[in-house]
Amino acid sequence: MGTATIEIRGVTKAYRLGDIRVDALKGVDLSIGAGEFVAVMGPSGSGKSTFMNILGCLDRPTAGSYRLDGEEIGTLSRDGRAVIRRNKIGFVFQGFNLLPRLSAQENVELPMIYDNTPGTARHEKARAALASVGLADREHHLPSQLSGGQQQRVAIARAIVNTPSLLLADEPTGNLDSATSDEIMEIFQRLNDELGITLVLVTHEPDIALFARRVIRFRDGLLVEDHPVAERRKPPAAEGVSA
Amino acid sequence: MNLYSAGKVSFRSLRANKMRSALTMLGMIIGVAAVIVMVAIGAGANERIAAQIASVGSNLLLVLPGSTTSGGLRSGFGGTPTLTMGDAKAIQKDLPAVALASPSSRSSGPVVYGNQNWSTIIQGVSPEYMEMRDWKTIAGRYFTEQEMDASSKVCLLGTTVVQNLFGSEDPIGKIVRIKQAPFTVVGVLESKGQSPQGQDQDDIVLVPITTLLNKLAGSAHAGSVGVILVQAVDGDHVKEAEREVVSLLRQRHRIGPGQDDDFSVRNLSEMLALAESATRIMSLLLGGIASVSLVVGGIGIMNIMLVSVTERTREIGIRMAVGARERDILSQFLIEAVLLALTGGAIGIVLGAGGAVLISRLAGWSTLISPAAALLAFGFSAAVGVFFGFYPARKASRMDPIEALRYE
Ligand SMILES: Nc1ncnc2c1ncn2[C@@H]1O[C@H](COP(=O)(O)OP(=O)(O)O)[C@@H](O)[C@H]1O
Ligand SMILES: [Mg+2]
Repeated sequence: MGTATIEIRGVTKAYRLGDIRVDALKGVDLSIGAGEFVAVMGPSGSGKSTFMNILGCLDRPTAGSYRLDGEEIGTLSRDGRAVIRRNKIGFVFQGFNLLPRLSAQENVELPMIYDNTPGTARHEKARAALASVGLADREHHLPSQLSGGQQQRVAIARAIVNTPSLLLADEPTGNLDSATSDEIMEIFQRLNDELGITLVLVTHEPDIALFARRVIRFRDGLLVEDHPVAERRKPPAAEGVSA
Repeated sequence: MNLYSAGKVSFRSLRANKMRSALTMLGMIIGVAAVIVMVAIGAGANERIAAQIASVGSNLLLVLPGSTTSGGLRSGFGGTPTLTMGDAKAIQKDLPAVALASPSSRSSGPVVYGNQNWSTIIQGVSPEYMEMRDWKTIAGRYFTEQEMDASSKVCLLGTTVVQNLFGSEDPIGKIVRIKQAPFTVVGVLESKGQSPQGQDQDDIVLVPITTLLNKLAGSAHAGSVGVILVQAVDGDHVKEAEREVVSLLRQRHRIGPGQDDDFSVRNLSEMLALAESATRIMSLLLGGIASVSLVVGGIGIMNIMLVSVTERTREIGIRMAVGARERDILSQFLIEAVLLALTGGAIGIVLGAGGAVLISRLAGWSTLISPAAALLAFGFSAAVGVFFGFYPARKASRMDPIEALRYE
């Protein structure tokens, strides 16, 4: 797994709702270095998800420049962005976004279907990814047969299975109780600590943000705060994950 | 995404909605089965006509006694016989466009061998008749010019007659009694199967026409023949032969200008060609009508695929988020549509083939299922899948990933 650098310059995003223009981002400048772990905070509607979608190449800025590892993303085609998502980016959502008819392992295999990883390698990598999030024995379970925390772990396994250099998570603990949230955050922390994967994570809970190394804050589409985490939270059980 | 993975993904989502997939396929099944049955009926009819053309012989005209009414119906058949042996001889000798002419007359009656008795058609012809109809012997020989001139009591038997009188015994040289008179069997005719009118052409005894007219028919018809079969020198001279025959017979029968012919000439090849083109048009029409149901099946697929794409908007968003390109999504849904169409098509081919067999059994129509037609139907099903699956698949592939992910 590699690590990614992000250069954001003057990025804006405007949505059109009929005649009304909504400026979701009003000009954001930000640099994120290799191996950073950034928590994104801010009130609802401040532009956090919009920002994450641009970082994740799911969307493109209305204006401004976004360079990922030096490559300009804003001018890429739809398929160009799809390939970046496939090879470099893992995305974890608040609502897990697993395919309900596929088993845990098949959900994790999904990104590898699109880069033609051969069957055996695909199965092995998927099982390894599931094991690394503590779900070695849940490979053949359907999402509906798993708890919320377990589903989110499957989603994390899916996000990291293609060894991305950038991992993005939009309120990944928003649907989870605090104990489960901590377990999920431990996984994120370990991925960042041990693999050096660059991590950007949206949360509105201050104690969740403390797992990160740096906190930035949005308000009304602008970046209003940016500081390192003084006293970083470490999981109580440092050995990490339990099933 | 490779084809195998795409196929697997598509197959699974079809299986997840079994009832819906089955009902969607039903449209294709009915369409393809209808096309297969219709084409089989058309091809069967075509093949029968073609076989008949081959069995009749080529470049033939049939001269019949009696005039033709304006409606094309012959009147006076069996009334006053107007054609004579002399007419037949003159047609063959005097006309440049005519190669051969054979007078022919029919009678019917029992043929007896030992204690076996078989009622059949006794046809008097000249030796040329065999050549004109391209009719061969499978045993023995034709009768000769001399036997014709001498009104000899010799005969050739069709295979049906041989079977019924002789069984497995060799008939050559044996004596049979036709209307009490003893005839020597000199040959057995090659089997010709059914005639255009559906008669068994092998249920026949051929004798020299002279023998038939002089020894078997009553004296009332002596000297007049039933029909004259005329063969043109080649395919390009059939029309000319027809004109020559008409003018020669009008002259011989002393028919003045303005008077109606007392005979009529039919172009056999032309009649069969006409029948052939009629069946071809009919089978095209049948196939065309059946194709409409294929198109309806295709629209059913498009409809269901559109519903499916909308229902699976979120799935599409997820796939896009993990790196599916437009073409990956497009191929997934396109393959799904083609899979529906092909499976429906394959089932339809099997059902259609079964239906065609059933129709030929029950209704007695001849049907013909060619592998080419089945393959074509299969290919056409695939084309229907691609054509009607493309729009929904494209719609899926052009979705905005964020909108799709947000879809509830
Ligand atoms: N697709 C969209 N169309 C119109 N407005 C949008 C769209 N997506 C987001 N917005 C608006 O942009 C602003 C920022 O939204 P978002 O980035 O989702 O905020 P956050 O994630 O911080 O809650 C909000 O005012 C929201 O209503
Ligand atoms: Mg949000």
